[in-house]
Amino acid sequence: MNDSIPRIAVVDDSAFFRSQVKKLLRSIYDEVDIVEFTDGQQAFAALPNDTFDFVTLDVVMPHMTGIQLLEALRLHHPDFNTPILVISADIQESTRKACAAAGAAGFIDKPFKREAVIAILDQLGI
Amino acid sequence: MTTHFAPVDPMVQDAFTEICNIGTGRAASALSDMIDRKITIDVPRIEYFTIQQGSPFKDLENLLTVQVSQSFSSAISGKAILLLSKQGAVKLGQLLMGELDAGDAFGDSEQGAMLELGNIMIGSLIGSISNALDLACDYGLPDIQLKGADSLSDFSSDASDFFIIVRARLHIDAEDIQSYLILVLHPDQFDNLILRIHQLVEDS
Repeated sequence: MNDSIPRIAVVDDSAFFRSQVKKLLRSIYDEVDIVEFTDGQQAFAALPNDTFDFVTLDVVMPHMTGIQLLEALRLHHPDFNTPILVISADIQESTRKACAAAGAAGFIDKPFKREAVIAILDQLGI
Repeated sequence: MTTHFAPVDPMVQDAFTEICNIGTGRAASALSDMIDRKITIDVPRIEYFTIQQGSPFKDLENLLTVQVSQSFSSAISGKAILLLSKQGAVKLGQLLMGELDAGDAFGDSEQGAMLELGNIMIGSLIGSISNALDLACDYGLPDIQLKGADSLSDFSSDASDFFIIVRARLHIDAEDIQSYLILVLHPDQFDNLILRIHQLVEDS
């Protein structure tokens, strides 16, 4: 992570879960700029036109699922290379594979453990 | 009304119980992480019934319940429901929100937290079944409702639909909260599930 304040997008339709992710991010970083999106469609319209250090993404959401968002970004914005961490309650192997195939940088089960998130961020160098 | 036990082969029943045991164990572990308390869970009891046979939820009769439901579709499709008494849901909602001693409040925040918990518990059960049977389920959006347990028939489009009930008693601190994870399957989907578990048993 560079010296500037990290800017992170949180994409999840659950207000409760977004608050959990925000609490986690604020415990990891002294200062952090968090932008929230409540579905994939909203995120698809905004993400390519903004700059983020990374994105956390839910899978099951209204209008556009997390996997559909990953696929749409890859198809319509092939230069978009912000790391996307999928955080989902869907523990199926098939879903993990689909997320990886669609370009997700990592996959974390809900509910997440702080150490697991930090380990993945370290692993990805972000 | 007595709960009906479907004529399922004992080996299939044993395998399905084990798969559900993994799912409910994971669900309890997820809940424990969310509320930061130790939770133990009994080995789940699996029962089958159809709406024609009446409600098997004697302990919830005349009580308001919280029902989180989510549809799933793949080679096996149906609906999954997390059912709790409102009292149990209030307790869990307050633990999730860190607002103990908030009376019997079950407002938007507690409902949002319960919706997410239901999503995670349903994902744990369906995910375990899906991983064991090599399926790939798509999920619908979760929904939460406060209703009587007798309204479960609303989740069924056909009186012959099978309800598979996974009774999982959660022990949290000194309290027990009875939770039910329920799968609602059309008879052909139920047969498909049993057939796939049978194949799993034969292949192992």
